[in-house]
Amino acid sequence: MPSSEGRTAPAVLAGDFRGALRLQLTVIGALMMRELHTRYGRENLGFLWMVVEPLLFCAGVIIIWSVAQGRYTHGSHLNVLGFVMTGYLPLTLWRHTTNRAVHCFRANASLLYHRQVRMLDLLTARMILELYGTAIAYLVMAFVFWAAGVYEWPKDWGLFYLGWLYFAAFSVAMGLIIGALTEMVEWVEKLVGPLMYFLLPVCGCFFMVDWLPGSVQELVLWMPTVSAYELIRGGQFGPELRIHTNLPLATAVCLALLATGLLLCRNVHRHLVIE
Amino acid sequence: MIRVENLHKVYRSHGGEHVVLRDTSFTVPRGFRLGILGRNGAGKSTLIRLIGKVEQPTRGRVSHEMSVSWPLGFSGSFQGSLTGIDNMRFIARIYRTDFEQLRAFVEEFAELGSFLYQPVKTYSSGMRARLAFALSIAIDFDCYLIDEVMMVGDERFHQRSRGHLFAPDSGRALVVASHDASFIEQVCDGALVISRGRTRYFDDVAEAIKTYKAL
Repeated sequence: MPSSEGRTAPAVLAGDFRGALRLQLTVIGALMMRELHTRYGRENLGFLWMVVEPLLFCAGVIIIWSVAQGRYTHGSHLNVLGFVMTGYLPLTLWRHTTNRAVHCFRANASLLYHRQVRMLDLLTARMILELYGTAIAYLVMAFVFWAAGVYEWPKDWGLFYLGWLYFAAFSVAMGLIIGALTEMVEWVEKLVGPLMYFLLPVCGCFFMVDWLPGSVQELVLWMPTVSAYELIRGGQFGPELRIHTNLPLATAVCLALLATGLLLCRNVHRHLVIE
Repeated sequence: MIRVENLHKVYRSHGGEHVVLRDTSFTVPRGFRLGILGRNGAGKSTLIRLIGKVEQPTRGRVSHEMSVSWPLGFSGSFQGSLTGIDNMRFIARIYRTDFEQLRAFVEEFAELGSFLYQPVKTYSSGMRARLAFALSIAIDFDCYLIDEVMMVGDERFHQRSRGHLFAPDSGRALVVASHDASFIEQVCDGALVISRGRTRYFDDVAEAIKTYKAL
């Protein structure tokens, strides 16, 4: 074939499974770079905002809680800073993944003109970015407070990671469901705010299960984030803290939500008009 | 070769069903230039997007046995809030081509000057189409899907894109949707006429145009 100067042949699209996987990873990577550019631009702090925003949020909360020390931690001798950090950072992740998922497909519909960009890639890219952002925010905050002598690193990293894993799974599942539903039904978007608000008190951010009466304990464990919070805090504070989890239930709920989200996303293209 | 087999597309809207395409089959061999004629709203763009695998058919399938461009048109394919250059970076990444080479070609070809550093949403539709054209020509596909963008740009741009895409010796296959019959007649080797969801293929483009004009 005649090929004029300066033109580059396109890489063969898809092919075998490994080729297809590599292509999908390339696409998700490109979407993440693009997302960073659109969201934070190239001016002022740029993508540092991804870390600064949760940092400011936590700093504010820590100040307020420190003033009210003891009153909210039920007299247990938990380090307020550790309690707030293990509470608010997962919360930030959850809030961000959910908010980022709202109308995610619509906002990126023009990119679907490139057939290697799949619906799910759009959400995946955003979710991975939020996971990264939260992890970096944690590391930066933890390092600064540790260096200042007011924070101790988690006593049991295994539990700490496991808790985050559950939390991430729940957040991503909710992102998938919200992302798909907001494209399918217009009024769902309006419910996201109230839903998040009403889930807040039961999500486990503000209490330890041990502080609750026995009958309520079993009930709140239906919310997978409660088990996740118990694990994260168990990892942070070590065996001195009594934790209660129901991992089979948390696993089942997370998997059910993930499956629902993926199924909804499979069908979302029928509801999306590509310009 | 592009194979289109029993393609059927139905849009559901407010309690009703609208059949855009009824059971259409055809192939586009390498180097073949296929025109698609039809009135506004006849389903030309939908067909182009289905051929490009950007939209899912209700039934039937499309298979590509050569590299096929994304549907080039006035809308889609760019992120409005990003600059031309950043969009170019994105496209270089997902098509796995070399960014610097792409940029050199596009700067020269699209003649957008400093606009390349402005967000794409500030572009006129003509400028957008020029960027899309330049990018897709730089990537060098075997087949180009073109949706009503013949008239963009000035005479110079026309001549150059004609040289690259529409010249008989370019060796590239084309699928061009247009309601500009004379353009289809000049460029295409065969044409489909779409009307009320049905497509009819003509080897003789002049005859296709006669049918189209009688609609």
